[in-house]
Amino acid sequence: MATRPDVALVLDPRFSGGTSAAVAHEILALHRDCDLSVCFIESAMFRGGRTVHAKIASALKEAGIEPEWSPRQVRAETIVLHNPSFLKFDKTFPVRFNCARAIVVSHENFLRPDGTPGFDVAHCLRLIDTQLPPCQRLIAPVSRYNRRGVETWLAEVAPDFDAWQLAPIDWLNVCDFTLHAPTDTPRDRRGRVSRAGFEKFPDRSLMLNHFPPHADRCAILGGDSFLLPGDQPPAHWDIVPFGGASVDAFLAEIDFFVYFTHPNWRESFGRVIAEAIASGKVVITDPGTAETFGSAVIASDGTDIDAVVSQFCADPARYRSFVNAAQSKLAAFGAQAFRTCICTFLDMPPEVPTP
Amino acid sequence: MIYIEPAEGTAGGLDDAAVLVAALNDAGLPAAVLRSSLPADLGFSAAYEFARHVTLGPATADDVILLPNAQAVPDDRLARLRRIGHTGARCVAASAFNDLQIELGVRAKLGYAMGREPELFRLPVATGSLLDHSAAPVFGIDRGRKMRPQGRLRVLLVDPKIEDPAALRGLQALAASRKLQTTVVTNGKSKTALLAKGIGLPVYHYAEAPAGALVRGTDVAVFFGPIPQAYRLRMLLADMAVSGVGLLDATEGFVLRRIDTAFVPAPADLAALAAFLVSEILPDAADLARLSLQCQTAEVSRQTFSALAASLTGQEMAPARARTRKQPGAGGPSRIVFMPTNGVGLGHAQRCSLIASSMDTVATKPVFAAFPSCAKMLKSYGFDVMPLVGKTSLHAEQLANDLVNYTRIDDLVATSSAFVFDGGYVFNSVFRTILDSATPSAWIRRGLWQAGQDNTLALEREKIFDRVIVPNEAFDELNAAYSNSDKVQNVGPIVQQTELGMDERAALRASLANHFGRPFTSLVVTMLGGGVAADHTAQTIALAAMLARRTDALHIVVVWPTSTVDPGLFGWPNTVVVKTHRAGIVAAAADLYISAAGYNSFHEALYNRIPTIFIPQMAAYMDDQHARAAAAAERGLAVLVGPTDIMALEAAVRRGLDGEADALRQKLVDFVLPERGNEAAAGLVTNLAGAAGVPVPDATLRRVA
Repeated sequence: MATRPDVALVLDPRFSGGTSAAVAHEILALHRDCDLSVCFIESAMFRGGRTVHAKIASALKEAGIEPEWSPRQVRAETIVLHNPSFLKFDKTFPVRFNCARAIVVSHENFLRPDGTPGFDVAHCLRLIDTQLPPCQRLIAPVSRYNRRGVETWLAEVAPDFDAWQLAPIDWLNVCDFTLHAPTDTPRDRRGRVSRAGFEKFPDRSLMLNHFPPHADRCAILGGDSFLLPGDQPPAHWDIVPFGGASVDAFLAEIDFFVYFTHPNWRESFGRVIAEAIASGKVVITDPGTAETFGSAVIASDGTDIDAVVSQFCADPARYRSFVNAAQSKLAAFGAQAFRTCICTFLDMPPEVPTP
Repeated sequence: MIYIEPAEGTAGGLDDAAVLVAALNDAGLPAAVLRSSLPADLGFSAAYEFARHVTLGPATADDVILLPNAQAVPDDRLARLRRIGHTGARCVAASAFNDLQIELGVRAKLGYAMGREPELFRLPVATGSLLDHSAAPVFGIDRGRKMRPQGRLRVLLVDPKIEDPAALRGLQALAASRKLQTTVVTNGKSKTALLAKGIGLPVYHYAEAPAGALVRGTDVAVFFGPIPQAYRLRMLLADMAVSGVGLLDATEGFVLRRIDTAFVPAPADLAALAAFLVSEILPDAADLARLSLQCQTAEVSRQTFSALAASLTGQEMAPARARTRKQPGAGGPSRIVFMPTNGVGLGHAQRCSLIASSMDTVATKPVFAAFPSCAKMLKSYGFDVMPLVGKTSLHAEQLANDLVNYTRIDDLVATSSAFVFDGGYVFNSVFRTILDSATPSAWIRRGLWQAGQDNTLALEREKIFDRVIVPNEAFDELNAAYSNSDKVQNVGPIVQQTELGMDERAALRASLANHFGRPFTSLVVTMLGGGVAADHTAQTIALAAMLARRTDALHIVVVWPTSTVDPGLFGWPNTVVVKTHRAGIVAAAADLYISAAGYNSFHEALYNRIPTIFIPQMAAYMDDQHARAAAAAERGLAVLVGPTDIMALEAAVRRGLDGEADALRQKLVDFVLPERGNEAAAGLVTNLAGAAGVPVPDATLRRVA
């Protein structure tokens, strides 16, 4: 009988968005096949003490795993550090690692679309480096787009980080959402979901083009910044603060998921896109974000949204057909696909680092 | 335009922005703060600090947004920047940027909010300089300070330690020195404590006086502790260094000198300081100035300004020198601004107009900044008037009118040769305007305060004026000294003398009889004020009723044009109501005058020999009108009737019209009154403006030190 992979997940469990949701699904996906332990780091990135994202807490409970906060030492054959950006404000990282393989999962893009650094990656990797024994060091991207950024960073921005190698696999987000059938009567009901950060939104004029007054509905979940004192968002926008409604209920009220971010910021994976597809919506997004999901979404430069929406509304059968096809493509991001990919990789012996 | 975007919500963010925007303007870089960038509940002090620098905007693509403390960008600040960013304005983000992550974070956050990434202005931190600051650039402005040859040494004590009783004795020694002129700048708590001790030195709290006023009036500054991180204080230090203020280190262990050797060791003991300053520093003050100008702190300041100016304007700039606003044209008359407060009556405005009318119209051009109630009167006298905004309960903010007035008088005063304020309480607008400008200033301060009135606050503001002109009372016992300052100058009563000959008086009376269609042998004139301090309607109506029975009398009730007249006054036989600013001429024609005992009306009655029954106004905040009226009555020059004693009033009027008034008039003619002070006051103001060939006194010397 083969030995089960010995894996420790290391993360700060206080990320509010996709990182925590992805890790929660990952815990549920991996604990059946691996000897899984989970360690939490209380980094300087967040305040508010040792709170754990609800989805992670729920997953740990379901998996029967008791996490450990800020251990002095973590020991496992493979240590997976999720989203190293949590260390960007720390000066030290007082956790010793004892492992044969360290994998850093780059949930946050290393480079922004204009090629400038997304965060001080080198600082975070150095902090991790100081605590690692001689072992294989891998950076695992979460998507093709994300991979290109890591690749460029390693080759061009920080060539001296030659101890770190690009992992041969993408550490995909597990997307095993419940699928909902598309509506039979699509209308021009548009919406978007995101965290509240300014990077998640294009400028006001583009937002107005994407969510125009002539639409039947324009709903924005996570539009907190438009609700700040002094701002006067258009009256036809139905703005809900982040966390102000369940994503399922919110998506049930729209037919088109229109998602554009600031042009110099991009989702590394785009979990919310997958969630919208699973919810039975046609997703329209920029080509860069669309890349991860291929033909499951409509790639747009943002100027043809009215035309796309009106064509689908005029042809409900095409709408249903498009959504059904998109949902079938989500299987590539399902738990089973993830387990197969990751466990196959973990079964491979770690490479011995060259002295 | 450079718009400062305050780091609201962070410690000192607004305060820092107020200092920075003022300094940039002083340095000749046009800067402002957008109204939308300030909180609605801006505090009282901050409101004044920002008042001259607030604009509605909007920003345009040609503007620059300067963002102090750029690493503190909470969402509400980002939201404001998002709104500004749409204009295309360039953003310069100032911060220490201690590590790459902070820099990347600032770039990204501001870029996402504003649509374009900011340019970074790196602030020096941990360089060992006394000008290190993590939130905003610290730079000084050469304030054009002049050494005073042969003069007293002007000393600024920065936050002296006052807990020890010996320290107070030391401060007193400094106050008593004839070779030193000492000013204290400290925190609000220490200022209150020092004022309570009555040390006799001008004391400012840090936000009270702009850096320019402090630095212009300082030869040497004595520091008693390490320079705190507070931006305002570091900017003040930079100003001092580049302006050549001698820097003295009275800290324990001389910690400042270890950082910058331009600091000269000085005794920490205040009791020893006076002698040290006189014997060791005064002879070499010029050397200290040179030492300061060449010190490391000054050099850092110049470098910071140079880098900041280049960042904001894209151009190299000369070291920051205080801008000079347009002064009156050489050779023309010196413009002198009078600002009377509108008290209960129009006395302040009348007094100012009398002084202004006594000035040489070739050498000077008196103009007024005046409230609406007296603007018409002043214009009728031939003066230009810039209107001020009066206080009203309709304003949402208690001090809204004064803030507007502050912005209005600022430029007028700064471009004039002298500024004269007449009023009991020095408004914040006046206080700040005088400190902001280098224009010499005078305070016309009438005395005879009521016993028990606490005028500490009013007197404390005497420190900002170069002259205090006190118009005397006619009677010596009424002339109390409220201040020992040598800037106080007493002059004789300032009063309008109506030169009315017998024939002119007869003609005037005939004209009045003709005008009102009422021949008379007895003319009674009543003027009891506008009813703001006390309602004298009952007395006036009682007089009207009484005089209705005298068929030979005409009763003229004179009120200011701005007054409201009680309807009960109309319809009485023999009584007419006249609204006029020229009460004096009507009163001069009277056989009997019934008047309140305000300064102007009282002295006009005396000096114009008008038999008068005085009914003093008794409001707690007014001058002691009872004492004034009593002094005249005791000399047999007038009749005093209590404000509620209507029976006595009727009797006094009856006696007056039945012969007593003639006796009073004769006594008035025989009585020798002091010489009027109109000309003397006008001369003092003229000299203050330098319009009579007399050197202008060192404004900031007297104001700050």
